[in-house]
Amino acid sequence: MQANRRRWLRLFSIVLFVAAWQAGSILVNDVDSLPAPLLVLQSLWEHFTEGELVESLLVTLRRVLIAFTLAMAIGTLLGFWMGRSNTVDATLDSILILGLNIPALVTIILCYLWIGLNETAAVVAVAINKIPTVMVTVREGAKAIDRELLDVARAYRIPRARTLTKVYLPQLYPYLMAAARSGLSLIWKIVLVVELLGRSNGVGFQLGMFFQFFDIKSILAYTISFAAIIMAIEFLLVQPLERRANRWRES
Amino acid sequence: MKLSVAIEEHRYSPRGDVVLRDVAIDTKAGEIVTLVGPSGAGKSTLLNIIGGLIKPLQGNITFTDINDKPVQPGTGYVFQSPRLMPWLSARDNISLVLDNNDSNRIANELLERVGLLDSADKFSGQLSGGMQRRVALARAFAVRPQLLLMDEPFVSLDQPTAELLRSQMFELWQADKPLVIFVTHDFNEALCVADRVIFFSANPGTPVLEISVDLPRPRSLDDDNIRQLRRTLLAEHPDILRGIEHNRDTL
Repeated sequence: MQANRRRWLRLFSIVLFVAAWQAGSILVNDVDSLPAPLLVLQSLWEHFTEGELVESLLVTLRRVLIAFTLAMAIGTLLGFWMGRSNTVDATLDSILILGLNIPALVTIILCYLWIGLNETAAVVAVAINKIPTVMVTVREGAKAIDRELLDVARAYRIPRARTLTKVYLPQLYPYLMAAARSGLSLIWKIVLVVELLGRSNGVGFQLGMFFQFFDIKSILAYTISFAAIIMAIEFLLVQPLERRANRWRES
Repeated sequence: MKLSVAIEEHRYSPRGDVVLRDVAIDTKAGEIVTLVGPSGAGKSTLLNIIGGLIKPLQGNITFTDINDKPVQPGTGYVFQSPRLMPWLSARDNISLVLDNNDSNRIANELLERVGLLDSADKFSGQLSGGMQRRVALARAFAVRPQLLLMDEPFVSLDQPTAELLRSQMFELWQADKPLVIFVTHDFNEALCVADRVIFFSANPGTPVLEISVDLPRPRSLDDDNIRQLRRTLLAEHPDILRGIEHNRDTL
């Protein structure tokens, strides 16, 4: 019943959004600045069948995945280390604050200038933007690790690898999920800027082209395809994973 | 395996209060030693030191085999709270501390011995407090320890449950007869469990009296000879036992 209700409410909010859009487009009455939803869908179909949409999405998705993996791996490692050791925490803390506050645009430009206008620079720039937020979240998780349960692992001399997977990780899991979720959304956004500034393919590059032609219909069509992918990842991957990991909490 | 404790002094921090002073304990193989004393007598701290979870500030803990060679004993530890991993089932909590490939079979066997095989797949949150303690007990015996450390393992249980657990503990103990160090603040429980009782005073924790208990097993709290022994001891050492008795009467 509860789950059913949630589903309906979710659907309702989408319907409401589309209705508001439709109403807005009628009010504005200018196809070039706010095209109606149906027109955008039509444009989406054209981009889809003509091929460059799918290819752009795949290129961007690939950059997102590489940057995401890189940021999660490095951020988790460093954040965990900071959470477990006061020395490391004190040493890295000011660099972390710096990292959190450098504008994304600055890191992107610097990466392109230092590394070159290439794929590596693009992915590194995105990862650098995300690593600090992962570190902050995972550090909190590492600090919240239950000492008493760690003592069990020590008293029974449980091997290090197993302690990591069976004692540490389940406690870190909510924090990792939070970092992954906010990470994915941040990375999507930054990847597009990176593509706009220094790549000749991908969704960001295409959006830049549409911008130059004032092609709002295509911009909205790309945005919708994008939103669909993000929702698919959230509902088909992130939420089921989360439910699985939280099974023991329901008891 | 024998244990020799020689602690001149222990503090939580180099400038903190003295927690333990002049603790010298030598055990025989297969002995059950209970440590009794008021709260603040450093009993749990001493157990943590013996279990290798903390290092004594000044002093040594040595384990030797029958040939007086130093050994590193396999240790089972039952803590004051069950300390089960809430994200693991009862069975997985036990196999977590095991290294062999048939750890599941051993876990099942131990669960059966404490009467919990039916609950093997339940998360610890789904078990009652008494059942959680039985799983913790099973976990401690699953490693077939040479040294078994128990820190008020049956505290805050109702009398029948505590009695059941004490008898299950004794049955499990009989298989390998490990050396047991059993901490309690309950004078009666100490007499019921022990071969030897060591009484501690508080602030700082120091052994003040040692007695042997040569009564047949299994014993129960209400046995006449235990009541008898208790009365005799109270008459002989009223000053030492006053703190402990006071504890009990106010409960």
